[in-house]
Amino acid sequence: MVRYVGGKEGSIGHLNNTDLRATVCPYCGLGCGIGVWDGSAFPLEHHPVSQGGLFLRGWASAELLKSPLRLVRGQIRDPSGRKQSVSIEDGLRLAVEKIREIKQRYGPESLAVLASARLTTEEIALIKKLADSLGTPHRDSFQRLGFLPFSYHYLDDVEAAQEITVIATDPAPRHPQVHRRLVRAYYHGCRIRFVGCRQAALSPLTTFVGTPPGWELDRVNGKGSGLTLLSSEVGLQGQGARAWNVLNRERTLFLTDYVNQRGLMEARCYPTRDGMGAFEILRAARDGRIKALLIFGDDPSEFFPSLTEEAFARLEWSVVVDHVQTKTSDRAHLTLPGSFLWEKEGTVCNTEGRVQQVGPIEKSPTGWTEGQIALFLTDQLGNGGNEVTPPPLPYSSSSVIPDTPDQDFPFLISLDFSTFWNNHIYCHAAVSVWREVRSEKADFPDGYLAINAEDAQAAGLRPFTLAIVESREGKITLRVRLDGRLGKGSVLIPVSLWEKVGAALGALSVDPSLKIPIFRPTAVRLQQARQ
Amino acid sequence: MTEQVNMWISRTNLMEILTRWSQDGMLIAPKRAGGEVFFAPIDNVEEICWDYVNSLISPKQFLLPEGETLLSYERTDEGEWVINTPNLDVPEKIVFGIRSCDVAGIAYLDQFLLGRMFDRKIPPDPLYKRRRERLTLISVVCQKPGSTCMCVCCDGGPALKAGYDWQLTELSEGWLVEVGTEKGWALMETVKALVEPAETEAVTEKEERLAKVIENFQHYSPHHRVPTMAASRGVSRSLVKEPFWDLIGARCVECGGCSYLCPTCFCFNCVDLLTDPDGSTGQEEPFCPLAPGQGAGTCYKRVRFRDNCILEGFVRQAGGIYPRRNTGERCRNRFFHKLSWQFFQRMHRLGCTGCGRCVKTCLGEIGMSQVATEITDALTSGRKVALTGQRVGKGEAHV
Repeated sequence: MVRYVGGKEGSIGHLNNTDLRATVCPYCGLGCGIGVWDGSAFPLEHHPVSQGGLFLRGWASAELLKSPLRLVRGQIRDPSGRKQSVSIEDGLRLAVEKIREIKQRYGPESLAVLASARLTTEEIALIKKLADSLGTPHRDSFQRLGFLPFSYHYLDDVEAAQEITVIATDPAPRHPQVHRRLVRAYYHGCRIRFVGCRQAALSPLTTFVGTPPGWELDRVNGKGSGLTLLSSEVGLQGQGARAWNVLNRERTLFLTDYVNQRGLMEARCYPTRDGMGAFEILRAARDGRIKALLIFGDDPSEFFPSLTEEAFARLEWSVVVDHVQTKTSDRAHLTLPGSFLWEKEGTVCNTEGRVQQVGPIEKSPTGWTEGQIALFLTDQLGNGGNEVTPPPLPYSSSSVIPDTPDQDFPFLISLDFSTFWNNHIYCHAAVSVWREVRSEKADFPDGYLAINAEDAQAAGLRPFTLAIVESREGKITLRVRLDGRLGKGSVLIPVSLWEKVGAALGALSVDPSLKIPIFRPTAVRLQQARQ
Repeated sequence: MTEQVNMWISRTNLMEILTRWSQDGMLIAPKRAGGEVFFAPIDNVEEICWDYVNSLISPKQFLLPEGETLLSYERTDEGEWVINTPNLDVPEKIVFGIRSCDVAGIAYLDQFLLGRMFDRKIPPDPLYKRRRERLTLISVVCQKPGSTCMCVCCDGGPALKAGYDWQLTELSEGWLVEVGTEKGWALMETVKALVEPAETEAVTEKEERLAKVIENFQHYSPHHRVPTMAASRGVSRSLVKEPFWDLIGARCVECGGCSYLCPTCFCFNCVDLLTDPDGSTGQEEPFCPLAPGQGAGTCYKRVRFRDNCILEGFVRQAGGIYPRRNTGERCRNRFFHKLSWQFFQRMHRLGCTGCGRCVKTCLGEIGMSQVATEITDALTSGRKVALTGQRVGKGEAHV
């Protein structure tokens, strides 16, 4: 069942007493309405977001119910690294015992909790309450990264706008329902301007302002007279605080990355003033300062596989509660199965601020949800702290200044967000989506360096061959992929290589006020590697 | 062939017939939930939705499901492979309320999947054939077209001359029943006590109602047939060049919705899945290189999944070759299949039946009617140079 709570359309009522079951797409932050019938998912025609349309991921979302990566039983890792089955009740008893022991030995600040934006707001609130009751200030999610708290605007506002500026993002692969509204706006005569280093899909029909990565805001100057759209690219390139300060008085719509990213923020599951962000938590675990980590639905391995591996090697105790098997859950001491969004009751909040109530349309294989597990742990462990309401993050740090290309280092390297979803566990867990995203993995199994054909020719690089990418701080070898949409002077790497390339080139750093890791656009030079 | 005689049925008797079929577990009909209309098995005729334009999901789902097992195989303890073929004994079903555009779509699917292309004898698809034999189509003529409907432009409705088993038209006093096949007459025989031959006035009333329906088409009147045919000619003769398709492709996000909903699309992909012999976990994983999963199953099944020519992964060939690399090229391929004379010769009709679902679902506003209009505009207006990439001769502009 799905019901819209709030939102200007109001409630359209429950869809019940029928064998068609309505729910919400579990992928991006738009929250399309999905009907599930006879094991297949299809778009709801009378839903204010989906309006009869879905992206490929949504069309295949019913496959997540019987995915090969579905977690249906608890597992515990023995000292040799082998996994053994354990009942959820036994696993929880063990978790309580271990967390209590670590807290007594090292104090509450040795504990940390990570939540996820693919859980319901109520579950996230329970996870935050668990962190409060454990007395730890360290709570966050890797699915918060890049979020900026701009006020709400409806998709109808996009469709009705006369002037739109889209900064550093391409809604076609990441927020397809926004792409749809932009197309409609274009036909209504709206002037659309894309600002970025890579042309968006719609750029041939609109105005494209090419900039090096990280320098988009300089071309906007905060003088937008229409609606401005942006997503996490800006924050993840170190421009989050600056974007907030430049654009927060403008009409700005932030396109959230995950189905309940706004819910994550509404539930205030982000670090307190003294607490560490998700990336810092992993670093602290690697350095031995965090001893036990509880993860609910989050997957640090998606972006930081090496750091996650190192952190989990040092942790004395780790619990991952999730309904899909991730590389993170593989490394945990204890893995407990949770439930998919379609198997639980709660609300999610989309990028417009539209709150949608979802109800179980399928039975959970285990009967346990992430929220119930968090509640159980709170009941058993909760005597160490009061409820904490963290103040909004300050968004006040001076922005990281991106490099400026020069004669020695003529290219600026950054992240390619067009393949943002390809490394997400849901895309691996749905057979049809995986088949689509595997092209990148089949053609470029070790990642790629996207470059304009003219730049490649000038630098003597041939497609599919290896290139040495060298910054002032280090170098790395990547395979060349030609990208006709990429502007001259810019090169991009997939988000999955954020950590590896960032560390090699000295581009990986932290935004102190947003408490997130960033990839600072860095000047590099390129040369053909010996094959 | 049985003589063509139109029949007449009262409203009460129709409900009696539908009740019988629903009690036999054979009836599939439109239902409404929230604002959504969808075809589903009917246990109680009170559940049938009568006031609808069409369902978003085409009834082709009952012939071509999203995924179906072609065969399963497993290795015995003795090391021998045992292959199990699927059970072809599908139950008899009657789809009531299917619209003419979807009946025309199924006729199109028959052409390919029953091996009738070019009027040659090609082996049919056994699973489709069995399902098709066991499915009876009782269409109901639309009397209230939707805003995206364009069946009048592509011989897809509002009423058909063939393809249905029964075609029902609601009249002031009851229903006119046109029987289109031997199967339809055999079904008529089972309910003959409730049906009577139609008077001439009933046929006249149907014709009058049809004329009124055609007047009620909102955006795509029969006059719009000209752009559709013009687009067909433009596509068939390669008058529409790459720059036009590049601009169409710029709007395509590769969601696949057009193909999943299209009543004439049948592209598929076969994958082998590894699963438990008893299916106890319900988990299935692709059995091929790079696939995610743990490889814990012992039984394999070959599954046919729906697929889509718009998707990059569909055109990818071994070795990383993409014959149609960008979305523009793939859109051109799709519209060539739908509109060209070459495919008309093969399938005996256009690949579009005018249901308008692609218009509803497309995230880039490139449904069939929209593209047909743009092609015509491009070929006949001043934009033709920009969009077709070359000047076309005076004669060719008269499309």
